[in-house]
Amino acid sequence: MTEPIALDAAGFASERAREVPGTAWLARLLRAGAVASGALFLSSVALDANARPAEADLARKLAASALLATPVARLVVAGAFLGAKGERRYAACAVAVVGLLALALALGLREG
Amino acid sequence: MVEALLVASGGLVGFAGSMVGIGGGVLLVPILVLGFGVPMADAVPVSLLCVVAGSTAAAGSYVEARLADLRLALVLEVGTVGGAVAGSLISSRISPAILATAFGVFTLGVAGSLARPPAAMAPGAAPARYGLGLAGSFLAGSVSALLGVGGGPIKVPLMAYGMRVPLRVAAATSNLMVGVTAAASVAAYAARGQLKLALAAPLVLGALGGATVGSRVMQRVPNQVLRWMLATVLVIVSVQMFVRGAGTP
Repeated sequence: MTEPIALDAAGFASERAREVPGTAWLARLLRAGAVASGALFLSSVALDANARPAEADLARKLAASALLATPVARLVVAGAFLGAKGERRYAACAVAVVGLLALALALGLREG
Repeated sequence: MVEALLVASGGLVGFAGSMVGIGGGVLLVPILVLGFGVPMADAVPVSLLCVVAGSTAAAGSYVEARLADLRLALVLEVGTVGGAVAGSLISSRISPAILATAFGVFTLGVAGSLARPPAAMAPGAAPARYGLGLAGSFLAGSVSALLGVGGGPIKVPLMAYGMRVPLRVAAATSNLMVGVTAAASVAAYAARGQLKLALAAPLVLGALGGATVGSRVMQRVPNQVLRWMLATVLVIVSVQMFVRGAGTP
C-alpha cells in the first residue's frame, strides 16, 4: 500500500502521482462519460425549447445514467488494469468499493 | 434568463469544486435554496449530480496529467464508502445539531491550519500513515452520510497534512473520489424519484464546463492560492454547519 508519489523538485510542476497502467484509457473513459452526458443534457434543452417534452425527458434520463455510470466504470477499469498487472490488493479494493456502493445504494433505497 | 443563471451557478461551483477537490455541493445547495428558492429536498440530489459532473469532467484531465493518485484513491474509497454505509446505519441515533456544530468547529480549525503549508515531501517518498488515511476517510464518509456534505473538506487536508501527499495531488485525488460516493447517493435519490432532472440539466452543463476549465487552471496556480481557496471553502462549510447546528431542534 506504499506506492511512491514521484517528486523530483519542490516546484508544483513536479507534483505527480505514480503512473498507473491504462492511464490513457481511464482518461478517455472519463472524458467520454462527461462529453456524452453533456451532449445529451444539451440536446434535452434543445428538445424542450422545441416543445418535445417526452424526448427531452428521455435525453435527460440517458444523460444522468451516463454520468452516474462513469465514476463506477472508472473504479472497475482501474481495478482491472491494476489487477492484470499483478497489483491484486488494489483490484481487491475496487471490488470492495463496488460491493460497498451496492450496499449503500440498497440502504438508501430502504430509507426511502 | 433563469436557465442562464443556473448554468453560471453550476459553472462557478464546478470550477471551485474541481480546483480544491471538494465537489462543490456544499456551495451549490445554499445558492439553489437561497438564490433560486429551490426546496432543500430538490436542491440536495441535484447538487450531488453536479458533484458527479464536476468530478467526472475534471478527473479526465487529472488522471492524464498524473495528478490524481489512483492507487491512493482506491484504498481511501474503501474507508469513505464504508463510513457512508456506517453513517447511514447510525443516522437515527445521533443528534444532527450536535454533529453539525462539532463538524463546524472541526472545519474552522482545519481552515486555520491551512495558514501554514504542509510539510514538504522528500523526492520519491510514499504517502505516509495509511492507517490514519483510512480512519479519516471512514470518518469523512460517515459525516457525509450524516450531514449530507461531501467528504472533501476532510479528505484533502487529511491527505495533505496527515499523509504528506502534495496538496495538488490531494485535491485531484479527492476530486476523483467524491464522484464515486456522490454517484451512489444520487442513484438512491433517483430510484426514489427525488431527482429533478429538468432542474439539473442547466446546472450540470455549467458544472461540466466549469470543472473542465478549473482542472486546467488548477495545474497552473501556485500552491498558496489552492490553500487559500480551500480555507475559504472550509470557512463557508463551517458557517453552514453552525447555522444548521443552531437551527436544528
